[in-house]
Amino acid sequence: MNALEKLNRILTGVLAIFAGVSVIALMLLAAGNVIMRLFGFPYSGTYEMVGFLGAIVAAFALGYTQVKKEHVMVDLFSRKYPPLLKRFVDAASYLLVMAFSSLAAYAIFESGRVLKRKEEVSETLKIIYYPFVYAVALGFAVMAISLLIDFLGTIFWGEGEDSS
Amino acid sequence: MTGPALGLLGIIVLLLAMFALRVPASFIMAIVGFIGIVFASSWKSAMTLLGTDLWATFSGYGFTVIPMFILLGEFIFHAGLSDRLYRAAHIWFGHWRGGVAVSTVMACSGFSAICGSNTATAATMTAVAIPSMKKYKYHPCLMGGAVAAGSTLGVMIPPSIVLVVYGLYTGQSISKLFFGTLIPGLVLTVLMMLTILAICTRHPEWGPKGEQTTWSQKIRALPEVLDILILFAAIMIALLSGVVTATEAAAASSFLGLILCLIRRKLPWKKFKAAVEDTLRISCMVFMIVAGATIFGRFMALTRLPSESAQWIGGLALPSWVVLVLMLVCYAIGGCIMDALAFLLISLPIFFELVKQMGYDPVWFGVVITLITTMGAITPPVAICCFIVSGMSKDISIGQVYKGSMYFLPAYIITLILLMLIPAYMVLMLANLVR
Amino acid sequence: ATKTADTAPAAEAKITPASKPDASPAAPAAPATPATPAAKKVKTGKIVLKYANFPPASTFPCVQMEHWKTELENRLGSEVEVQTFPGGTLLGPKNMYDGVVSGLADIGCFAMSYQPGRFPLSESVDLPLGFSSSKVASSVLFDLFEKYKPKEFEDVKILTVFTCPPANIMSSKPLQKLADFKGMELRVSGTGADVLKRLGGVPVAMPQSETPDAIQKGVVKGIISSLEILKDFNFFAYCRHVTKEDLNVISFAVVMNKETWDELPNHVKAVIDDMSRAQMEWTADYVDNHVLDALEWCGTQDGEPLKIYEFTPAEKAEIKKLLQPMIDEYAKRIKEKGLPAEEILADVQALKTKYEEQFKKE
Ligand code: NA
Ligand code: NA
Repeated sequence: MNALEKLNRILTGVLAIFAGVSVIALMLLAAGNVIMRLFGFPYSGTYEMVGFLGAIVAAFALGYTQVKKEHVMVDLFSRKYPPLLKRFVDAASYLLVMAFSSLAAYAIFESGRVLKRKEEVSETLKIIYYPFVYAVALGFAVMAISLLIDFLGTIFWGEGEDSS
Repeated sequence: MTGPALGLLGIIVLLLAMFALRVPASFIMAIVGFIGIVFASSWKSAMTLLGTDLWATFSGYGFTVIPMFILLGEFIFHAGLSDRLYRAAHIWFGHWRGGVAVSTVMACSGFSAICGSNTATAATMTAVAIPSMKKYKYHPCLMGGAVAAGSTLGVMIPPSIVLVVYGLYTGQSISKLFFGTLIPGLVLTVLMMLTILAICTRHPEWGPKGEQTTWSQKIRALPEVLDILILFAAIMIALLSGVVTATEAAAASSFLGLILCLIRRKLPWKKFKAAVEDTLRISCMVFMIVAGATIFGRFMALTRLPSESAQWIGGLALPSWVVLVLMLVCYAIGGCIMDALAFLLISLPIFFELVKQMGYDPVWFGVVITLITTMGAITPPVAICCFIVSGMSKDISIGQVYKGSMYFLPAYIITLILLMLIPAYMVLMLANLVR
Repeated sequence: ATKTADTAPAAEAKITPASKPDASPAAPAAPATPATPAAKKVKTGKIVLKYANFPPASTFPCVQMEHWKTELENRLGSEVEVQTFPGGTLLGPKNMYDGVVSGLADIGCFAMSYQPGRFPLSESVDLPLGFSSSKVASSVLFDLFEKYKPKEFEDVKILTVFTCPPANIMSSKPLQKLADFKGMELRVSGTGADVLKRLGGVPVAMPQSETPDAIQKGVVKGIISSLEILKDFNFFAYCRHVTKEDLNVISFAVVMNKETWDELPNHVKAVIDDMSRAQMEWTADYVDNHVLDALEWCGTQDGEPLKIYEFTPAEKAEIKKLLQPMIDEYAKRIKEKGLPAEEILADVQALKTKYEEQFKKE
């Protein structure tokens, strides 16, 4: 288990570093555009780039957010479940979200592949942007792996008790 | 089963799953929406929609305002600036019961003047206000309720995303709408502050009274908040004088905040790292909530439940005020079960024609439904602002935020009644000042 | 699994010429044949078609959608029902085509110009060729599609195509000469981004919903778009200056899911095919007139009146020179994709000349 947990933390942590760099880049890019505009040289690609960076921020933080159990849950009643039932429902819920995240990763990857195949480019910068779409798919894939580890933990070790 | 019946079933399943399972709210909305689309259409189309919608939500420029304002809030928080702000607020207003919560609502109202979205307001104000209120031993229900309700001012005080969408869809002047919502927004702010005082009369232990302070103590507390006032002034000037979008204002003020914190040596690497980490987690959570609500909204649109109910109400041969009340009930229920803005988009084409035919003022109607839809952001079970407040503060449960928010519902209802009774003073007077 | 003989691709291209009167002989000729095996859309006795559109209900792409719905339901009686989903509630501008292919909507209306690279043929009409009206540009686009049968549309059935009226410049500050473009941030969409960049301005691709606020604040100084939005989105409130220079158009297509199409009874297909060109012409006429209405409407509004500027002939020539590389680059780009670039561009020019002449007389 420890090895799995460690793998989970490394995997989500690496993506989180990229997300962190992206959020700072986003800040510098958008703030930089304000300054450039004051001097009369706004940069036309900012809006698109900011959107793409925002996607990286949110998607690469998915797994990390799951590890930290940040996604908010309506546990008004389920909080009071007896331990065994709670463990069972927890496991089922992890499995459900894992299935969904895997599907989401696949669906986003597929829509990226359509963009690639049809040679679609972005509106202003006219650059291929499917790699950003693939990156969002990767974020969901890592989220799925993280949930699988949570699921295994709940089944075999009774862990995954969230602290929220 | 297809059509509106499937939509109704979807809502029931969503509610059951949300309460019975232990799946995050964002994901359960997305999952039920996805399965619903599979039933209403096909597996293939559900997958296509899932892929394209998630990408569109995650990469939308409009949403990037969220991580930027959260980053600003986190810098302020980790550098201890918000602590100082709240110490000052405590010295000034702490001797009243709930005084710090009252100043939180005021801060929400002030922040709403620069931010047009209630989710972004909720995220920022939670980061800034909750940790500080906790220090003064405020009750979780009061803290959660005050911030969640206060954040709904995000769209009631201009600028406002809901009013912009309404204006674009109906061709109404956005400046008129912004002026028109000013008085109702301020009335709502005052009523929320009164609500806090009322709550504290009933539960005195929820908002403990601080020590009485002297005027000289109060004056001396002011220089403490100089940094944050500079920051606030900078954002306001940038936004009001123009030349920046909301995202840019947020990014520039985060940058300014960072510089300020670095100059004052308030933000060592460790704290900087913590601020970025918090920003990532919170932004991700908020993005997922928006994405989940979007996917569930697609499912609702596909079943035609919202549009058919709207058409049904439109077709009833009833006095116009009854139709109006039914419409508002529709918006209130719609706001409970799906993202308010998504519901607005679906229902507006049908309702707006009706409202015009009945002879109501379109600007006034815009303000009324903005009030109702923003209330939807704190009415359980699908209450986006409550989700954010609870999600961001580990020791406030979603139940406590729901409970706290419910106390604020009368404030909305009184504002609504005032809007009905004296529309001329509430909305039209200021709206008609615009050319 | 019902493949009738005439669902071959050739049948799809059979589009009634414009001159033909509306009452098509094909429509009454084919009574409902009960022999058609039960197909998904027909099983319930009534054909229900979901028609998704992305802009708000009041805009011309949605007006033409409602017109098409009314027309089809009139012609076929209670046999069909078209359910419309305006405002992007079902599918947005960028996932419309894929959404229709997947079957989420049976019919979808979308702008090819918002997905550059993906629909190379219609990009030829999006080039800044200076079309004087939507009627001319739409007719050119329609004929072009008939001739080339673009491969990028192979997994859908095309119901009709049209364009918006030519984009002009609306701004909060006067833009009277070419030099005024320098460093000016304007909201644009489609090929307008490239056009503006070459004229010295700064294109901003923000959502239209954020544009009024951005203009008021001065983040952008105006918008390059067809002029009906002065009224439709009340851009007149923010932009009192119009620089009349017909730049690019934005091209739209209405497409149907292939399986839905294959399952339709023959007489329904005939009616839909028969409506194709008429729908294009109706839409173009409607929106061209709507531009005039909008300009007239601006005159009835209070406050500062709308000021309209035009470039001098010398500046117009300069603009043409500045924009010519766009056409050359387009030719190079689509040649790489194996398309007959010279032939397409020559056709566009010839059709443009033909229709400009034809519609001027009217
Ligand atoms: Na606001
Ligand atoms: Na709600």
